[in-house]
Amino acid sequence: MINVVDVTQHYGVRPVLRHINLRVKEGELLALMGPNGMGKSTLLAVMAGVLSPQKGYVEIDGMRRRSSEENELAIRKRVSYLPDHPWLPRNRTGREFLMAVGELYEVETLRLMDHVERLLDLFQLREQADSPIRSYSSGQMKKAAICSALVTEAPVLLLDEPFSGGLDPSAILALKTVLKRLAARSDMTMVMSTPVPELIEDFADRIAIIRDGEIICCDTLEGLRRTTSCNGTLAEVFERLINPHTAEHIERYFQRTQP
Amino acid sequence: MRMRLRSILPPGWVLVLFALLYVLADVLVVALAMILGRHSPAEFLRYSMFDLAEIPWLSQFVLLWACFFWGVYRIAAMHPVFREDYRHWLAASAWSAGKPLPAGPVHLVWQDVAILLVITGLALRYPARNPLEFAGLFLLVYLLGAAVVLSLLQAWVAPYATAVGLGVALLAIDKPFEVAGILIGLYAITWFELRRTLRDFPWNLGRWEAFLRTGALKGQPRPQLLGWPFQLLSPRMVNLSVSAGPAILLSVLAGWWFYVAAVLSLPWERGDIEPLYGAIIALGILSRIMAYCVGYLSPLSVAGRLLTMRWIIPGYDKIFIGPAVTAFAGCFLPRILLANGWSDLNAFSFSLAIVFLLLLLTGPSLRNWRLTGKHRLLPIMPRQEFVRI
Repeated sequence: MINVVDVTQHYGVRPVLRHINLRVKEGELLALMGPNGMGKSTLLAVMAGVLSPQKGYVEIDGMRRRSSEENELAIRKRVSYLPDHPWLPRNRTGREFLMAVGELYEVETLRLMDHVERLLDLFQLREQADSPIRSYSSGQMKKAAICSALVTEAPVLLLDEPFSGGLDPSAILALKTVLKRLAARSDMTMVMSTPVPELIEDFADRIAIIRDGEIICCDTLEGLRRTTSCNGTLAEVFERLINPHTAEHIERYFQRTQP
Repeated sequence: MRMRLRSILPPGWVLVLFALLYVLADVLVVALAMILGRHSPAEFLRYSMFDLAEIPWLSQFVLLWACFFWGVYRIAAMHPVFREDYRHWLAASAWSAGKPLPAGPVHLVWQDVAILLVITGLALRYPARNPLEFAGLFLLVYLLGAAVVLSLLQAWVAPYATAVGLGVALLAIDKPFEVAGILIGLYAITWFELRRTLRDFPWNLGRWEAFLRTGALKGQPRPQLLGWPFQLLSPRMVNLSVSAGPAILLSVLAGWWFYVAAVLSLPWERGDIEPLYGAIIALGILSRIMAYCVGYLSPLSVAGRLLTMRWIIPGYDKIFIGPAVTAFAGCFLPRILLANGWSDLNAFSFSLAIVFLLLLLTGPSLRNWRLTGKHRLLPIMPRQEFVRI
């Protein structure tokens, strides 16, 4: 379980997050959505322990982040974080990298080797598996990074825009399917950010909408529909919440441009 | 006898190579003397019989290099700590500490003494040099190698004794028999520690396990080299802290080596030594700040601090207390000691030891800071090793 309590974060003067309170239950997949620059990545970074918030705190499975050395190490072992822009070792092969990540998280060796093989097949990386990562395309690197988050077998996954970075359609489908299957498990807790509603609307348990560093709404898709009185897709609901005047603006634009 | 001698010598081709170099080096000197001095070989040899010390025999340097490499080889090639396959084989075999090591003994044996005698005999050709220098160089390199091995095995007595004893040997450098006595004394401590650590085999090498990997696991990346986010958010973290006992010993060692260096560079004035002392302290403080700050930034930028009136962030700024106290002590302690009648040499050496102690012991510990500090992680990755997506 992830518990975010009254988190306020700012790097300079302007707060990026303001008094965020959020509880993600065990076995739940929460999608963070919002326009660019509104604090999605920052909130994930606070949950992942990259940032120490100016106010508030984060608890993972009842342990507060950075409260003690033992707690922090225990949390790190239970959490796998995929940042928006990871760095990969350019001179190691994909297989070596994944094996080493699995070893870092103390995954049992035989299970790890099997898991790595299955991930390489799933993301169509088998041909490149024994080539240095520097020879990969950007999409293949993103796939390797996603595999590294999955190979940890950590019960808490924090994924920052996992569908971005040049993934091909088959990789997007593979990742969607994997996340959907993981979301169905009761022992996996996931928080992921995405700017594209269509990608997550059919498997996110709840969706949190962030605007100007605040969570303006956090509910199931049905709940969001009720809140906005909109029975459309998540994209339409999202637009209604973030930019309620978008439809009017479109109409006005075409009224003026028509001869 | 032949097999036993062979077990401590490098491969045959290395011996042949050194023998060839040894002969060629002197042939080169003779050839040059004949060409430049227009001597016949008979004249040259007659001349050299009267004044051997004047001839710059190049072979003496070959012999010195041979002693150096042999010292490295004796410990690096024989000790199982550097060879993972050998360690695993030993662990799986019926070998025990009382039995001879299959790859050769790690401690010195009578065959080593025989070889040293041969080298000393060869060194008698060079009247300008003390023949003991050659055996001394071998022993020095061997002791340093053994100190590295024992440090990896966390047996600290011999490495520490070596670090202190070599300073004593340097101070007595003009007295060859005293130096020889010190080196033999250090060897006795090393011998005892090598035997003790062999009794503890198989070893838990801890943080050095990955570093020393060879053979089948060669090339496997260490967890620290996995890029972002695994490097800074690793669920494993070695204990980077130094406890009080080792910190005191390290500080004494730092002060001792400052003392040795100062004595060896005598005569000097106070004005000569102060900049060196200041530079060492500045370097120490800078290193500590770098260790705490690189990749672990303040949660607020400088502008943010100024504009939000949060000029001091206790959870972050506490890491600067230690360096500040150290700088203060480094500035004023020598002055206080000098004012109380201490000599320059003792005052600066003692102050340096205290400064090192403060640098090592003032909190928070590096491990505690990295895991629980109020900082913002910033991946700093060299582009030649990592690629950003």
